[in-house]
Amino acid sequence: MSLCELATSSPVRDKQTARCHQSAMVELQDVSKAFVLHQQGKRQLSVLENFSLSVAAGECVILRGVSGAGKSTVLRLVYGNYLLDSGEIRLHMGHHPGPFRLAAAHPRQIAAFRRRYIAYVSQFLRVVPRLPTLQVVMEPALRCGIELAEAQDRAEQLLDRLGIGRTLWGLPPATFSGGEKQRVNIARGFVAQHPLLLLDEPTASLDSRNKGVVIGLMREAKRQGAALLGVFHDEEVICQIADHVVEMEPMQNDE
Amino acid sequence: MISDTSIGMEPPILSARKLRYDYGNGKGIANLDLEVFSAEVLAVVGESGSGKTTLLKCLSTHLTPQSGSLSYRSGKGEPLDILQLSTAAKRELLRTDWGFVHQHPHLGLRMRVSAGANVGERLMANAWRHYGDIRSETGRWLDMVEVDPSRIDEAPSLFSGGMQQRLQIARNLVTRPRLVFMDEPTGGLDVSVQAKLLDLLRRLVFDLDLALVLVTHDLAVARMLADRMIVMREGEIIESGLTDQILDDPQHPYSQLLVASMLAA
Amino acid sequence: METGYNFAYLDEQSKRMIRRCLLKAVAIPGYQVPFGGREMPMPYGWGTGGMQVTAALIGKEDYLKVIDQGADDTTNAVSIRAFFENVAGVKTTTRTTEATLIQTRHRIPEIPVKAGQILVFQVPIPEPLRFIEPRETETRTMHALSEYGIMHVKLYEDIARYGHVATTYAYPVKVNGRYVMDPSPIPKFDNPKLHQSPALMVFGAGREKRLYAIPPYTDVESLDFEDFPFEPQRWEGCCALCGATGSFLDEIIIDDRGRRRYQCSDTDYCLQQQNRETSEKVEHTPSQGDPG
Repeated sequence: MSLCELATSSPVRDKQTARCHQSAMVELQDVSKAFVLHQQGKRQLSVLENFSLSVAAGECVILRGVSGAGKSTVLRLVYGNYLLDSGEIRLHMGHHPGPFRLAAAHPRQIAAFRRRYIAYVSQFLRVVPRLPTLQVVMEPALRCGIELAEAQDRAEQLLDRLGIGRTLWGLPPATFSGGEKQRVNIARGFVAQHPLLLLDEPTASLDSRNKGVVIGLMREAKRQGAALLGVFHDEEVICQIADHVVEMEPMQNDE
Repeated sequence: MISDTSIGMEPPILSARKLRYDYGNGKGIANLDLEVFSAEVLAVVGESGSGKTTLLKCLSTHLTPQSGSLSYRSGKGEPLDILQLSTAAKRELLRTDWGFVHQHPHLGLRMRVSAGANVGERLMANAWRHYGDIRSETGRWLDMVEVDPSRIDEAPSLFSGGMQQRLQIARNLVTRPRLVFMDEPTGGLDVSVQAKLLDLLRRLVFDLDLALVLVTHDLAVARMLADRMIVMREGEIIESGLTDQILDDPQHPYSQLLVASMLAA
Repeated sequence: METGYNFAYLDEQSKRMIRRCLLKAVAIPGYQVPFGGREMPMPYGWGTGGMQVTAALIGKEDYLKVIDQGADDTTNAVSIRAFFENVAGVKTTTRTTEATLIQTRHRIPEIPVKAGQILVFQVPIPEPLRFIEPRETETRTMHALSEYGIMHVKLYEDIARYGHVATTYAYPVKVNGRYVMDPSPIPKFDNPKLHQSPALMVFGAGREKRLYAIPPYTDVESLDFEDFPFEPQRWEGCCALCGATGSFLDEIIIDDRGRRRYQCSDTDYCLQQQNRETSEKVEHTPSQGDPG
């Protein structure tokens, strides 16, 4: 598809500087990340080196590459799950006057920042087992200060769109099928309408109808000015939502 | 307006500096710095003997550190030097503003009086003198922790382990404390009962703006409940940070070992 | 009077020690003062605490009255009275109004005590908090810090279980707004008599070697809840012997069908009432039948 071709840029392993965008929301600059595996005789596993990237508001950037290329690592660095070795990650959000510098922030600030601004949507639902589905979905919205009625309204709409029957809303998702859990998790990711969405293959193994719904949700998020940074393997999805595709390759690590 | 520096950085509710407690044999805790904030769960993890419980006892005034400082920001916003407080003031804190949930319910409950009296005690200790009010408030809290209020007059010894633990939590929370310490609250409970308790705790922390310091050796529990985590080993903090950061990207060799040996969480 | 014993059985040094402790007890109303309890020639539980206090207080001029649950004529009362007649040679009496020193087990006389009289209570368990908190170190700390919340736990349990405060004796009181005190197993009927009493009240626990006191004219408040205020016992009947209605009545089952009658627990009071009636209306004899 021509759209895909247009959106794809060359690999960014070479010291390509981030595209300077007026309204860059996420900026990764010369980011390096290696894991030191102490259990394996301090083996050093380099995953990213001098990696730069930026995502603007209303833009969707897709990371593509074979497994082990560091796609998820980028998402996790931005989410604060992984610590940065060098370089800088700057997040420009809503009312913030200056950028939020992830590497310099106190864990508590990262937690608060996340709650307010970032949704991390993966295929896996990880919640306390006993909560009813509607609660599970509403929670991120409530946690960033959205009124109960509003949160419930949003959660119900999302569950409806994603084809989770009303009879299931009162039940904990632990009892659901894999596909249902995945859709609950997607609803959970979109409910708070965070300005930054980190998407870790949320559409993997969804049927085409639900894939369409998720694509719709991502488009709406973009229209509302959210920045989307995602890992997708599904070319169809990529074609429909990507503004920019970053090709990634695994680092050469000495064995 | 939320500024870059202020987000999530209101002053800590409890802050410890260079805490040291030595049992006299070189074991205990040393040089320990720590901050606890409102509306967050801080998990303290580490294996047995790493000093977790000693730390909890020092923070909750059950042990007096040999050196260091411990400061608590009261509800009125004024800082209290905990180590300089009189016994009376410490005990008052422990029955009003603070809570302590023991691993074994029989340490935290009076097994010879009814469930209702166990929960009501803290109210009576805070000068509640209207039986009807005490009764209804207690019933409300039993309901909140999912103990059938119709069992209000039963002895806790008739309750299951999970119910006893929830009763202990109600007993502590009934005075709306701002800071609660818990020592392995889910230890010794069935997995399904654990889940119920975890869910309850999470909800309460969120609803009541609690600061919760949770000692556990169960990383799965920490993952589900805690915003931040500290890893202890041989009386020292070897790593601290966001819970998922430490679990997903542990830096210290010992943290890596700990995470590697954990069951999928 | 027996010879070969020091006056009032105890040696002078022991009596001094007890008096010093009594002074402290009077100075800190309701506070339990430990004392060096001595062996008395009778088992614990028979009033050894009270007897030591009596021995320390009694003088040659005193009139001693001893009651056991209100009665002057039970074994315990008779024996203790005889004991002090023997070792101190003091005068004894059964008349409340006549006595200067009244040693009592579990009652306060019905006839109001006067200034100058001293009541000595025999105490089995001095610590009121122990039922809820068994640790002695902890109860002492609670007294020191006025942490008395758990005292209400006991009352709460009563109401939860029986619908009312079912504690009828040894009903806890707060003395002078400070210390919570066990008034010994007197019926709660007697609690109001502790408040602002013109007589000095001294409590002695022999087994546990504790003394405490309520000085004259001290506030003594029985603990309660706002919605379950303190209430002394009341009876439907009256004394079968003297017809009194305002006194503490013992219930006596008189046949196999469960019929019962009541009579005053305070034998001296009952006798006074009867005498007064006979002197007023010589022809009248109190009914011996079932008053109900």
